[in-house]
Amino acid sequence: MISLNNVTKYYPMRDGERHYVLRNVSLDIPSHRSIAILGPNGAGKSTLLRLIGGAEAPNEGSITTDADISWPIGLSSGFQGSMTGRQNINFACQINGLSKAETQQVIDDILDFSELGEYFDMPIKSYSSGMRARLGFGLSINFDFDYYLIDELTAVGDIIFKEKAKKEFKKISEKSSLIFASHSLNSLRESCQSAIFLHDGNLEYFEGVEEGIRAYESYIEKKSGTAPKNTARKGAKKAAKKAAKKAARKAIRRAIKRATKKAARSEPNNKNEK
Amino acid sequence: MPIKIKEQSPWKSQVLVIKALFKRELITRFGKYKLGAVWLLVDPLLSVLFLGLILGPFLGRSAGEIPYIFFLLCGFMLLKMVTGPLNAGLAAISSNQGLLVFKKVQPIDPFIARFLFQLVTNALALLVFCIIAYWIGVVMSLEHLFKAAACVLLSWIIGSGLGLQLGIVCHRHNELEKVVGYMQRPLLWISCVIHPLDGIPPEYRVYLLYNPLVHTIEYMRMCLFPSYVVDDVNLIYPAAWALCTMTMGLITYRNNRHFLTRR
Repeated sequence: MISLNNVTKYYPMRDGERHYVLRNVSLDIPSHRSIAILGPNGAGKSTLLRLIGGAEAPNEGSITTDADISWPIGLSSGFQGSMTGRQNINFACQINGLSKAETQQVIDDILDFSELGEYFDMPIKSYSSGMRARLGFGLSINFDFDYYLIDELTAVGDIIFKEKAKKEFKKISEKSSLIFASHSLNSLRESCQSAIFLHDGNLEYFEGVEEGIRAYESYIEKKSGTAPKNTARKGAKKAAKKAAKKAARKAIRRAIKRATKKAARSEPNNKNEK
Repeated sequence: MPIKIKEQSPWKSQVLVIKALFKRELITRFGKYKLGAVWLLVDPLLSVLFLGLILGPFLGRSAGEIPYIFFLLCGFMLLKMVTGPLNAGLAAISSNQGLLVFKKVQPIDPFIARFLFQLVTNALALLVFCIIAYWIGVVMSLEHLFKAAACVLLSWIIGSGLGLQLGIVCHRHNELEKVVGYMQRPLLWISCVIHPLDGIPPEYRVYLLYNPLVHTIEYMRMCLFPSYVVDDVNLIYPAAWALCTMTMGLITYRNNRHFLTRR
């Protein structure tokens, strides 16, 4: 279990005011459930993960747990750009007290998983975001945690990585739990049972992930006045596709007409020239 | 098969983190050069050689029986003991930001690793120079070795305290980094690195003695070279400086620790 006790987290802004990410929040996150973190951009999903992972401390209150929690596994985290992939992996193994043999085993496994090849000995700053995600995820699945904090990890990967990640998520959820922040509602549905909806400095916990997603969607609806629902979006997409097809057909027909007219016009000219 | 991370005592865990960061410094500092760690010796030697060639004929006369190069080296290395950690502290956070995501790595750890790195490398260079001097027949005494080590350590603590404090403040206000750069320029001239304290007229000597580096540098020369005698310097004054700067640095750290982990 992870308990947040009266946690407040804010960032001072340029004008001296405080931007609150969490405002006096208390919550017990139950064990053995994978949890989706929902929230609009800038609501503080990454910050929440960093708080849970211990990369940042709350300004007030405390977060207590008896579980092993990973560091936030995401695009922006865990690696120093000037160091090579191998050096970064070595560093992570060293601070966790792994022996040389274990480190070698981890490196072999990551090379196999990430398929980075020669890039493994290049500085991280030369990596694409997908490569970074592969390396970061490859590292974290080599460690045994109770909770894995995933921060938008699969958003940048190619299909191969997404498939691999899905498989690993399944493997993880047999023994441990995910805390998964993402904007892809479908991948949240696939791997999570419960949800936390983060907005305006508040946390709302939902036992079922669908309820959480519904609350998130109605919140967005209220805010923007539009319907971001998947069903609605699908409908809109279909309509757009239909319209595009119609337009394309029309354009083709017109083009053919024009071409035949041109040909008809140019034919007599050619004859005249002859 | 995933590896279960063993739980370690806080001290053991701290040592592991510092070790890993230290290794990282070693790789990034020397890994990119073909000569590697040789630069550790060549770098100060070259700067001292050029200075010595230019200034030696003018200022060397008053350095007593010590060859001017070693007189200069002694001061220069102690100056590096201050400016080294100071400058290392300035970029400590920004060049390790990515590693702070691990819970075990707290923002003070890169500072500690960098300061230790400066201490080890510069002390090593100083030791090598001392051995060379001894070997080529410069009269040196080993009687006051502990006091000489105290001079080195005090300079290093002053530098580290300043480095911690300024590193954090400059992380908050980027402009200050430039100012800190300029502020260090005159240190070479007002710290008795290139000339002995005796060479300064007595009425101005008082002002120079406010600089703690003057104390450590001159005291160190006095310890290493028996023929060299300086009045007016002591180790109490730089020790007070060390205490103050380190305390200020740690207070600054404590007040800003939330800010430092922020991305």
